[in-house]
Amino acid sequence: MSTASLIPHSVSNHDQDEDLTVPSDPYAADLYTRNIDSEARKFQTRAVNRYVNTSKDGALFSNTQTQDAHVGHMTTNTTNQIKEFDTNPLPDDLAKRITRTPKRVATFFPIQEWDGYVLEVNSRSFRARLVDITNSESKGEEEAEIPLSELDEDSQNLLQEGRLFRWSIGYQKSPSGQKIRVSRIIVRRLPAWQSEDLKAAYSEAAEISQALKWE
Amino acid sequence: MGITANPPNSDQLEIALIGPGHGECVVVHLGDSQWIVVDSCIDKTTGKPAAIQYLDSIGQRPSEVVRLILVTHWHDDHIRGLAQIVEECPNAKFCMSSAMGAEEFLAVVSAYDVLRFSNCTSGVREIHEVIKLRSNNSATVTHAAPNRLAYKTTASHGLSCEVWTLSPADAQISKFHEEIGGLIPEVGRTMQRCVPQRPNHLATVAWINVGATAILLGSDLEETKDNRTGWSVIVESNERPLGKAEIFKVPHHGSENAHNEDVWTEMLGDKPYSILTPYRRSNLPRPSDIERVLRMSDRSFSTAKVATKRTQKRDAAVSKTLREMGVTIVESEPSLGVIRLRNGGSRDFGSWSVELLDGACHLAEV
Repeated sequence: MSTASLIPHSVSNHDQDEDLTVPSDPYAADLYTRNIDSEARKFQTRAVNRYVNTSKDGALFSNTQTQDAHVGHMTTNTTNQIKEFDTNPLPDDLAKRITRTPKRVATFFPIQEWDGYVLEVNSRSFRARLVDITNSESKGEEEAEIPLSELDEDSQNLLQEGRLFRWSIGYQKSPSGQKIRVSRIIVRRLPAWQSEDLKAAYSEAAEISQALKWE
Repeated sequence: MGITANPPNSDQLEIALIGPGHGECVVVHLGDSQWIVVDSCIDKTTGKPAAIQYLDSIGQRPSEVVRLILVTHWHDDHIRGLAQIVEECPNAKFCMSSAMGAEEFLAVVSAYDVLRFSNCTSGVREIHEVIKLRSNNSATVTHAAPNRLAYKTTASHGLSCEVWTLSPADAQISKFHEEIGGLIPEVGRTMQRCVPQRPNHLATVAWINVGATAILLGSDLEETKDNRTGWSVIVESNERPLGKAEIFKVPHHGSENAHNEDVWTEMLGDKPYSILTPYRRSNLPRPSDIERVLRMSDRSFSTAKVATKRTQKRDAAVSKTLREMGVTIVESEPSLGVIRLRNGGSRDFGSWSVELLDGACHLAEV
């Protein structure tokens, strides 16, 4: 998936979870969460090192892709040049902190989502067909003309007829607990066609073609 | 569909044009519960193929009564639900252009089938399923080609019933192969939905004779101004079945690019019953198309009105966001409507009654 375009549409309310011992001031809360993140990231790096070490006979790797749970979903963090080796097991309490989801993270709660495909791209907007994936009772496709300004530049460059995307409208909750209504359009970066895909397609085509009996 | 539940009499001819929902479908009763189905669309409120639903609603069992399934081309708006029809009617003859059985085309549909997980279905997925079903079946596939008799039967009205295909011509098939060359995915290119090229080179036009009564089903065949392709090659052919049709399924949703004046003068009777389905994606028919078709025949009908675009009720926060964005989401196509024509049976084969069901209307009211 490409970078999400997060368009805040209004700040609705600033709600707090009472069971958390987080400062009530949003700025202080944010700092508090960052500190937790920073600490957890150190442990996470050590865990990645250990995984690399044990799974690849201690080989040294660079650019190891890891899923970064701390900055919200669908983002990745590249851990460059892992140089430290740590073959000692982590203490139990620290290991738990690595796997535990931090209490204060940016989260997104969709209210409405569509899968869509692009029909045409104009200078200021694009026209798309939408399939409602939130409401199972919704029947048939819908259509909309969406301003290009709803997408970031990278996503705009990906738009072309036939391109698939996911459109979500919902609430994003910041680490400080602030709730913002957002519209998010993610142009899907599906895998590229590989020569194996085409070989398989031609092979199946030959099989079907031979099996068809024409009158 | 809230259809009148009585089937036609055994000696009555019937043609029902159903659409759009998403696409169009034609069912024709030749006599004695022998039906043919041309193309397929689905009822978006039930998710069922419109042809199956329609036949069920008038007490006809599709598995027993459908004798021929004709696929005019592979575009999304003509084949949704087709796999279910083929599956439910295993004894029906199946007719399509040989171009859709060519390895290059099958490779395209196989390649794009990797996107079957997507909620955004396309014609390739359905046609892939249909052709696989048919290739697993021991039954044959009838080849749609110019001036070819695809199906013949008789009924108790005593008249011979014939279904002819009038296209695609050889030159059209060559152009289709060029189109397919452009659809084969490039290695290294990001996967996306298959986008058919324009114009449509493959559409199969059908001509149905029951005695001297004829029906012309125009599919989406376009006019190319090239006498080797499109409508020109059909009109100029001296091998096509003789006669003038009383009923015309207007091609390509009434679009100007599918209009050929000679079709109206050479192949159709005076003021034929002209029936069409609208296609909102391309804003068809346009006001000028409506005017043109009505000029050719005031007995013209549409399966749905297109002016009113319905919106769904949504969560207040979603509606507010859409308002702020300046976006309106509308239903992509109107609900299914049916134009049904039945003739007077053996007593009066030349007189027709028109029923406009579930939102179908006179073309002037579209």
